[in-house]
Amino acid sequence: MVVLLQLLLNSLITGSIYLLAGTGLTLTYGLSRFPNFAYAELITLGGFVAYTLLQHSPESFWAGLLLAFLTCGLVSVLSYRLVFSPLVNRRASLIPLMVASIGLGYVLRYTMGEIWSWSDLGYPLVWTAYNWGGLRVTSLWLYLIAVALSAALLLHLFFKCTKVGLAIRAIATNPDLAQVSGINLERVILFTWFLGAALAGVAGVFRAADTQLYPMMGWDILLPVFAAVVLGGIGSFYGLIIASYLLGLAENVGVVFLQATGLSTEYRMAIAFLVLILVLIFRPRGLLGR
Amino acid sequence: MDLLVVDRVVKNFGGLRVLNQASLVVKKGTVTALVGPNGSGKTTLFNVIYGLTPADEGEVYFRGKKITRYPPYQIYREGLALAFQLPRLFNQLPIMDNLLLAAPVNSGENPLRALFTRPRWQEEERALARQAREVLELLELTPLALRPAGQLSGGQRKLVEIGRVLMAKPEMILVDEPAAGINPVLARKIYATLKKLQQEKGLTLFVIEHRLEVLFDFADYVYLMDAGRVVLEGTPEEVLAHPDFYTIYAGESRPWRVL
Amino acid sequence: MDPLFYLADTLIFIGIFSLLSLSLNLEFGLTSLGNFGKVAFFMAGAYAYTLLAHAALPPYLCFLGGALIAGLIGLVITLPALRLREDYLAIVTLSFGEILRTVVKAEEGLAGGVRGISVPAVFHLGSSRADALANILLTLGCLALCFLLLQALAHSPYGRVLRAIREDEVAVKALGKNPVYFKASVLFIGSCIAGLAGGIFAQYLNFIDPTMFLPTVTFLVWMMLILGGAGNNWGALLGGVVVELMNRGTRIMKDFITLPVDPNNLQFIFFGLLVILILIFRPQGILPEGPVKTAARKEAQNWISSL
Ligand SMILES: Nc1ncnc2c1ncn2[C@@H]1O[C@H](COP(=O)(O)OP(=O)(O)O)[C@@H](O)[C@H]1O
Ligand SMILES: [Mg+2]
Repeated sequence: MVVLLQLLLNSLITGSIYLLAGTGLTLTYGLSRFPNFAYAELITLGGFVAYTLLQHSPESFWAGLLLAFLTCGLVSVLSYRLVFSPLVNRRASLIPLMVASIGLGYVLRYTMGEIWSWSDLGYPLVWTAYNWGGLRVTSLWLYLIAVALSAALLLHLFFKCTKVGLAIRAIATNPDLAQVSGINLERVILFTWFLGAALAGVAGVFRAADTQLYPMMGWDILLPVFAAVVLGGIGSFYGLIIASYLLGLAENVGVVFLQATGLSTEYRMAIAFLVLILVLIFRPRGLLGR
Repeated sequence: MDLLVVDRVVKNFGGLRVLNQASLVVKKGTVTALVGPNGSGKTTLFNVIYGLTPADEGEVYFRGKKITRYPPYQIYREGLALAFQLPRLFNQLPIMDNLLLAAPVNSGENPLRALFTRPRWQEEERALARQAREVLELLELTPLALRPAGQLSGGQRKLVEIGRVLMAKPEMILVDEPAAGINPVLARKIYATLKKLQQEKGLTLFVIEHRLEVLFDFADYVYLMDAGRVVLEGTPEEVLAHPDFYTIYAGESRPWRVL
Repeated sequence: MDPLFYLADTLIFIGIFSLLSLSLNLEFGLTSLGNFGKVAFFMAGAYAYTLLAHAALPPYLCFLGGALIAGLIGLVITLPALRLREDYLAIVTLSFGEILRTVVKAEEGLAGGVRGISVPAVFHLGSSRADALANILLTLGCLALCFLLLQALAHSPYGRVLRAIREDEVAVKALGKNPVYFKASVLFIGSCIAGLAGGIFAQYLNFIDPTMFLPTVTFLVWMMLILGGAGNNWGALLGGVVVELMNRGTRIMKDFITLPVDPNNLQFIFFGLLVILILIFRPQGILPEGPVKTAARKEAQNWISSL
């Protein structure tokens, strides 16, 4: 029973990271019609800026989150303006946009490597650990789950109740609507690029706090995040919520299975890949995609 | 002989019923025209026949064979070819290459043959080039043969689109508004050529056409479509003489709303 | 160090990377297929070559087998994505690059896992200078062969269909050709060539381990093609030469200039920026694509000039 609960809790943790990291990816993917591989580096960047703040004042974890939120959002908007917007204006097709995003990823990753080093860093923080009848929990995990779920709830309200929110969701799942809805597309895009990357930065802080911080950190979770985005249906925020937690569950169950069969737990990543391939074969538009 | 049979085809786009049990028959060796107001579903019907848009209900038969779920490339191999209403040319490729790509047989398109039977496919290419030249002469585009298709004017693009189905040498061609955007003299010439192909080679033509004088001169049989179904049919004289023809023809078509 | 060895190393790496960039040109340059897992098929070829060589197969069979195995893997992995939109292929190939490395790392028994595996050398000519020369000949010979092969494909009706697929798949379908068949064949051929490059790489280094097959290899190959000129085999070749030389240039510079920043970081920041700038300001690369040259084009040139 406790084992099962622990499994569910672990899935919730994994899924929360994917949800935070994937929100921006799926929305901007839906709006701008290409997958931005530099999201990996935006996740990492969040981890690093919070790290610097924590170096100076170890008490300010929440301020670190906020700093990561703002920095990543800003870098994302800048990158849209400087890199992607000119390409879109030149009518670059999908693949050049993806290549540019990889190029941008390299610029960001190696800049971070230069500023913060290539070795593994850890946050100078200690989290309270609880033992609830065998169930192992840390305060960090509780914060993560709380932040992910409240972000989801706020976004839900935003999508439901505001004009911009409605527009984003409508266009993300159906870009043909952009022309007819009479909204300022450019501003909606910029806003989404900001918000999405800001959340990815938050994901990066949690990931770094929970494990280790290094310039490839974001890249190492990019594959499952993409798997979640595709499983949920590209552009679909609600699909992503379901997909993130499903994938979190699949991974954690998979790890138990791998251990039981004596296979290496390194194969954890392969689970996301398997999910990705199965989705493409059986339901390419994802759970809630158009 | 009934070459193409469309049997009670239904197509919905969201809540919009664009084809509502449309049925018709095209006889072998005829020029059959499809007319109807804008938005009555003519292009959609062509797309369904050609496998570009899946039908929700109903069947399509070609030479008695059910082709309803066939992909377009298989339908092409059965002997049908379609010229799009809005030309879909390969813009970076020369007109010549656009035409060559429509050829039914070109053994060098197989990668192994491309490598190992070069003399043979080069010979085929020369033959196809001569065939393409005839098409280009007809369309009055010969001097532009090596221009990228992206540099053409709207009317010229339409011509190349028609040129491609001529290169395909099919048993039956579907042409969506062949004369739209082309000067009237050239349009008549194209029709005359199509008519000649029909008479000499037994080609079957199914065209979407707006202009009535063209129908009178070239069509053997006419279908009038309105709101996704065929409402009138007959020889051009019969259809045009029908009391309801002009009200429907001139009317604004409202596809059936099912939601 | 004997300059011959440095020259050999340079030429062989140029050869290997040019093979990769040529294979990407077939896939992306002509057909617009976004293979973002090039390194995986390169790696598959390297490991397949190594395992076959350990099974004591004659070298030419090892190269051939390695290429074919990589080709088949390329075919199978990409098949689910081929009937879908092009971005799915990108995500699948990118992910596969990560997965293959994970598998090789995890399976100690298969090919040494993280410790790597030694690869028997083909040439034992008695002197290492002679071996180096033989390796140069082998690599450049394979490069020349593949170049001619790809050039023949690019200027054939097959190559014309690939370019048509790049522009409008629906129109290609309407003209009686199944794009999935063509795309699958392209990924098979492209992965075979990447696999051959992997075999050459493994054989030359006499040792491989998973850290040699990081995603950066894929990025460098893309950079070569984008810089040299996508759609043009000469461009792919040129890109291979230029980027490999830049790579070596920075390595040499490191020994002579002391910079306040890590030159390795600087190099990749520069590479990333360069790719972005080329895409924005010169998307066609240094050598733009030319038309498909077959007998039909000659015919057409003849009638146009006689008008
Ligand atoms: N892909 C589509 N999605 C939604 N509606 C469509 C689509 N294609 C056509 N329609 C609608 O179907 C109706 C019929 O279109 P069409 O077949 O092009 O008419 P026609 O060719 O007779 O002018 C129009 O109202 C058009 O807006
Ligand atoms: Mg129409």
